[in-house]
Amino acid sequence: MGKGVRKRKYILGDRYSKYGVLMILPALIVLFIFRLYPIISAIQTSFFSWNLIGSKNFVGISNFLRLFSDRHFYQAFGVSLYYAVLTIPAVIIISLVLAVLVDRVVFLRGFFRAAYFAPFILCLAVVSIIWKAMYHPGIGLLGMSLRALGREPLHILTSDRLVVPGLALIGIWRYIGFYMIIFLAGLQIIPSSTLEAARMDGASSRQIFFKITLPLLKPTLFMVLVLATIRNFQIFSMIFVITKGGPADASRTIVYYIWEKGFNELEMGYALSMTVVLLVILLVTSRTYQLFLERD
Amino acid sequence: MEKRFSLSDKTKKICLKGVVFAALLVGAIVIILPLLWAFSSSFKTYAEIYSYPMHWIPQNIAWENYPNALKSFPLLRYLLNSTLVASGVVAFNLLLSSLAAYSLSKYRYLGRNVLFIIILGIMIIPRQVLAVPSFLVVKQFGLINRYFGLMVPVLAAPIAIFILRQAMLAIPDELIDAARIDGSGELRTFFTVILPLTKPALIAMAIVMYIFTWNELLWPLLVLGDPQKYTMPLGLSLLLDIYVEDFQLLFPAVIIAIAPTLIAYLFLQRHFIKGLVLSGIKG
Repeated sequence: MGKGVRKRKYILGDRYSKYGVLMILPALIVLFIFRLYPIISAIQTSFFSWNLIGSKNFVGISNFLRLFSDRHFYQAFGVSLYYAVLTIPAVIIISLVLAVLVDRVVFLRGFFRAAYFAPFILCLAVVSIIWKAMYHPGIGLLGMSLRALGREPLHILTSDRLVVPGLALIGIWRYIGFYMIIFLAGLQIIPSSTLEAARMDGASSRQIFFKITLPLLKPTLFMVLVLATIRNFQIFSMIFVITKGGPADASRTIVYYIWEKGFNELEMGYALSMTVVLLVILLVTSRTYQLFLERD
Repeated sequence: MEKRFSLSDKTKKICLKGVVFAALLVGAIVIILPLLWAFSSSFKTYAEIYSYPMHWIPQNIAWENYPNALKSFPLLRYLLNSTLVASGVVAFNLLLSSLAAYSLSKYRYLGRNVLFIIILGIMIIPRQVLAVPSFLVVKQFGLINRYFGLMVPVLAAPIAIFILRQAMLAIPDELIDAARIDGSGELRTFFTVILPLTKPALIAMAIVMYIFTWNELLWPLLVLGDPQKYTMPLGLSLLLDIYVEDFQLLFPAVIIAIAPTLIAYLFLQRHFIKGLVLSGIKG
């Protein structure tokens, strides 16, 4: 019966509980109305046809049926996947190598951290203007460099074959510093005595890296993988500023497609059904991530 | 094998270190190159921007590009708007989030743990994905085209609550008890005892919230309609559609837009990196 007593005490709390409730209230109001309620309303409205101005018409699951036969939705999904395949392995390998190297350097270490991290702090929309210019065949640094090498400048942003790789390079540029810092933090956890012992036993640097460092970095690696995957499904600014989804929809991502449907074509119900599907994808991804982490 | 060359081991090590250092230096320069290029180009005349071969140092420095950019684009207006919005978000967000964090870490009441789990759940879902339904809610409240509508979804942030709670859990309860015995009110204890002790976390979160708010494009695009109210990313990216090839104006505009963040970063890089990595991992 001791349990009952404790429970009652818990319900009543102590004489300070009311202050605690009052303190969390403002934040809760904001989060419930503007962060939680939109999810509920998105799910609800995804069963309606609505042009944002007129009245909503219930259409059942037809938005979702349409979505699963929408060639453009699959294409947008494909663009995200293609972008992921191009960026994620490159970002992970480059940032891991950088972290291992920066970890060994003492002189100017702070400068290296700051320099590689810099692209991450800048506004992507603004920086995208620089990259649009970088890829410009007439004035761009890339075109100028190719001409200096005696080659023709590439028309990256107007080629449906090169546009996604071009955007992927911006993504790599932006994120390697961020992931490098995460790997650096992961490296600090590896005890130096372990590395010292391996060296004493005559292990080469390469052996140490593949047999000790890499296995111990596995949780960090996995986290980076999931962070990068989730980020992939949210790309908007770069597309809006640089390509507007073009040429011929070759670079249209999911969030850009949702925005286009909702605000250019005023198909709010359909846009929200895509939002719901995207949410499910993200939740499944982060749930898988959790399950894998718990298994280890 | 290494034993055989034991005499040259030291030289080998120094050589290796030199190679690593050189590689890192080249890498760092490559990373900053687009920014350097934009900076150098911002001082070039229209003709020189197009001229081949390219010069890193402009032949004739076109100082007038900057006043011209300021005349063509309402950049100062955008800077002011962005600064106002980001500062407002930081101030309110830190207040609301730290109060919530204090409540979650030091008070007992029914449902506290459930609330914390709900807040963690909200944290998982990126705002970019929920932009459209959030817009509809803000519209229901009649806050479209208002700064308050722009700010309201981020007046409290799960990530800030999470990290500030973590910092407050480390504060011993005895300090709070002592303050109560001294007759300090709950809010006064919060402001004079708790907040000073969570300063590092507060600074980190202030930077994160500032940067996130400042950099946002999709959200202001949905909420703001009046060009006078545009934030820097929104204003510049919409002007880009009009001034497509006017690079002698666009380069200085971009430099003006990123300069405040870069300068702040130069002085506070440790805080920037710590805060952004913390919230990047958890968010």
